[in-house]
Amino acid sequence: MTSGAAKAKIAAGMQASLCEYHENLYDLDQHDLIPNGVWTFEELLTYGEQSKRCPYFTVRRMISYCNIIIYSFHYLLDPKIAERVSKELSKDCIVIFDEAHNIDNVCIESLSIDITENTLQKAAHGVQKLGETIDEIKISDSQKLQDEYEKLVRGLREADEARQEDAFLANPVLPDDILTEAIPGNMRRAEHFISFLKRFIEYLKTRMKVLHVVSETPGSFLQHLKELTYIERKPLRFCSERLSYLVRSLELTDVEEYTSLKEIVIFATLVATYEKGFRLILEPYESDTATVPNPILRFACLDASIAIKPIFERFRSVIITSGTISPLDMYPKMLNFTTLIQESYSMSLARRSFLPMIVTKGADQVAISSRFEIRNDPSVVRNYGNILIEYSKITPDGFVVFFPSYLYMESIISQWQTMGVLDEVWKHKLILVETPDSQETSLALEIYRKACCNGRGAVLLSVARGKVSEGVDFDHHYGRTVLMIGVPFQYTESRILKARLEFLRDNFHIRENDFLSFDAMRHAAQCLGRVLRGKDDYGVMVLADRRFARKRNQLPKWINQALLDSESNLSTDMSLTNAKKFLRSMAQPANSEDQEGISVWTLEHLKEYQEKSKIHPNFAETAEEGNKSELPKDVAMWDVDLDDLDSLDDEDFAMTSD
Amino acid sequence: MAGKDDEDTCYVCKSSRYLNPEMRFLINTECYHKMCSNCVDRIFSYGPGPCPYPGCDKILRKNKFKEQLFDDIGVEKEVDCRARVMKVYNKTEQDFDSLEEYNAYLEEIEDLVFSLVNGVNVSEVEAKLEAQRAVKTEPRQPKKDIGGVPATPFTPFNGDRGANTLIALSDSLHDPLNEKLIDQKEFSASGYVPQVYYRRALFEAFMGICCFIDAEKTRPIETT
Repeated sequence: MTSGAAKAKIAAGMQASLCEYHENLYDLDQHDLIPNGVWTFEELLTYGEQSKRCPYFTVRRMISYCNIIIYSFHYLLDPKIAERVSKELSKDCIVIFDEAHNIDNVCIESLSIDITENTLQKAAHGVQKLGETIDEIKISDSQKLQDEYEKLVRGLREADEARQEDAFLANPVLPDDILTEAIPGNMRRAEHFISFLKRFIEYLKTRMKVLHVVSETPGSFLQHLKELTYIERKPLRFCSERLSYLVRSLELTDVEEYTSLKEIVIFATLVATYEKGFRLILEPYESDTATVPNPILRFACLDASIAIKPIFERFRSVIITSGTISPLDMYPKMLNFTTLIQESYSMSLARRSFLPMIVTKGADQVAISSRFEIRNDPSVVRNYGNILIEYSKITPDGFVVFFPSYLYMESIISQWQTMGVLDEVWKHKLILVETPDSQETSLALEIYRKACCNGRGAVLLSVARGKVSEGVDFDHHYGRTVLMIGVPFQYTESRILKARLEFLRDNFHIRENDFLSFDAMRHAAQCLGRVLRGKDDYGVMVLADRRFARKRNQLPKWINQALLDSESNLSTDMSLTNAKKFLRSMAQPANSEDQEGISVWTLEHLKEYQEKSKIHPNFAETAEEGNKSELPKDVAMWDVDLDDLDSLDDEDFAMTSD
Repeated sequence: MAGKDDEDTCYVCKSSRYLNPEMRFLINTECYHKMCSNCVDRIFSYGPGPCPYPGCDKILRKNKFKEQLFDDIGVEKEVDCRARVMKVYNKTEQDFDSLEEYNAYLEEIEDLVFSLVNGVNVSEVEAKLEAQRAVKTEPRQPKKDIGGVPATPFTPFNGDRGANTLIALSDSLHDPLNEKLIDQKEFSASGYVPQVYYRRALFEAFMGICCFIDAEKTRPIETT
């Protein structure tokens, strides 16, 4: 293992083992560790194995030399990770958040922590272990601890590069909120810090014993903590930093045991740093009906703008984009920024390749809805069942169904079973169900794909907020019809959601219902978008709920535009006629040349476009809209925005939706 | 970790929670040995007595028994010790000139608590606490010398418009009606004093002058 400590030993002439893969990196120029090109993780791994160089450190050192980096949101938004990975990006970088419809949830998750009793027990064990190690080291090598202590007394911060690379724990708070003064005196000595941690963990354990729901602000939590254990706010803020020092000076290599402790310490630092926009919620029971307590202490971030603020401050151009990011004006409110450009584009397609329809009533004219009061009515369930049966008859190959929640899916499936709906579907298609278990789901997906490929066809029953709705594509024959059963609202009794709604109302003036409906519609749009993954793809989108008719304005522009007024309030049988017609016409062989010039460009088109845009700069933007015939009308509109475009350099944010 | 059996059974009377679900366990801050509330009532109701645990000869009093707050007795003990120390060592960061001094002070507290908990140099610590208690009884010194109380009267804008008076006050006012009244007995008998009248007249005339609210608001507040 190569670590700062091992290197120091070698420098002092002692024996220590180093990692060959890491040391080989020093043979090369530090800015030229891999050849130029496009690298994926697999390629990096094989390259690292061949050349015996550590791929991990190659990436970490080369990241500042890359032209384009594609990585997960967390690398930028989660301060624990961003501190290590994205620290060296220059402020001229253009940051693009793609598929950003969920960006507020990522922001919130990156600053939220859940603590269970299990975590606390493991953390207590970790502290115990740490204490024992300290006692051992006190006997064998007391100088080490003394050195650390003296460094802390002098208030030194280490800037040693080799040490930074194996830092145990990065500060979990945002860069602006890190205190830059010396570690407080009451945790400078290792044993004092251990007793500090013990007290804090014992306090949390005591809190967990409470058998009613507690929801409090960080301020009141800290006050109570101080009354009981004399732990002040300031040392608590330094907790994570201090632990990281300690682990480093004890030269601990086996850090697995301390993961839970790390979580507790991160919690400590966060709770002491942030006063506003956070809430502590203690839930003693898992569900309302449970009798055996299983307490969870949730430290929930309610304000998505906290985590994203440093990004807006640091980078000059930030683009937030997604296929299903609508309504656009909700995002600037939630993330607390002003957009420079805000645009919604329609789709540039040569033919009408998807058919969105809102089905509001069954064939018997009974209104269908997943509203809580009527969702289990036999007539509603039967009508949903009929939709499923009829569409599984007419849909070729793959058919995806989304439910608002696992709970509702389970109850409706069992009712369908007794009604004989599933037997009927079975005649036409294989039935597969998504479960919360990710392994089961991936198996189901695999079989689903197989069934679609060999012509048997399959129905996938899945959940709007599940794994299937987010990451999995159902392109071409994998998904010809997508059916949304009900509006996918969040579980409104959740205390975290309630706290967040309250926060949004008080601080950003977003009404509860507006947010809930926005959130439901973005998930619905996300689900619908699963079937249309390319220009030659086609599919039917059925929104089966009475409430969709009023919410159609909240759908992304490209779906809303394709949704004809005549198709926004259909009954099952009418929608079936439309879908049949649509599928029949789409199944005709398509001439790929028809698309040329509209949704697919050849080199000539591109050149022509460049010529035109030289003469008339505004043309560039209109062409993207894909309707050249309307050019004169659009120019005026774009003129306004282009002025803004010029000032993009000194201003910050653009926002688009494609 | 103590076993389940251990946690729910009183060491003294061996009764368990199984038979008495209402059972409460109490501890004494002298020795931190756990016993049930029934035992405490039984043994210590008639006055102080020795701890029933073998080998522990501490004399316990009933009023010192309390309910255990933390699972870990060590932490419980530490928090109690800390409470004692913090009662005396209660300076805040504002009481110190520099951060280093404050940090050193914090560390001193930790050291005291540490030795109290582990029973090292207890007498020394007690002496220190006693000394600190004596210091504490003195009135706390303000951090910086304020430099004399300003002579000018209080104004609502936290500061003054200079101690020098801008006008010379004469002690009489020429007012024919008033001058006539001064000499009349019936007025002076009822407590009429011309100076009071002058003062009031002056106040009413100049009320609000010399105080410009906007300017006062923008003036930096002086802490002296």
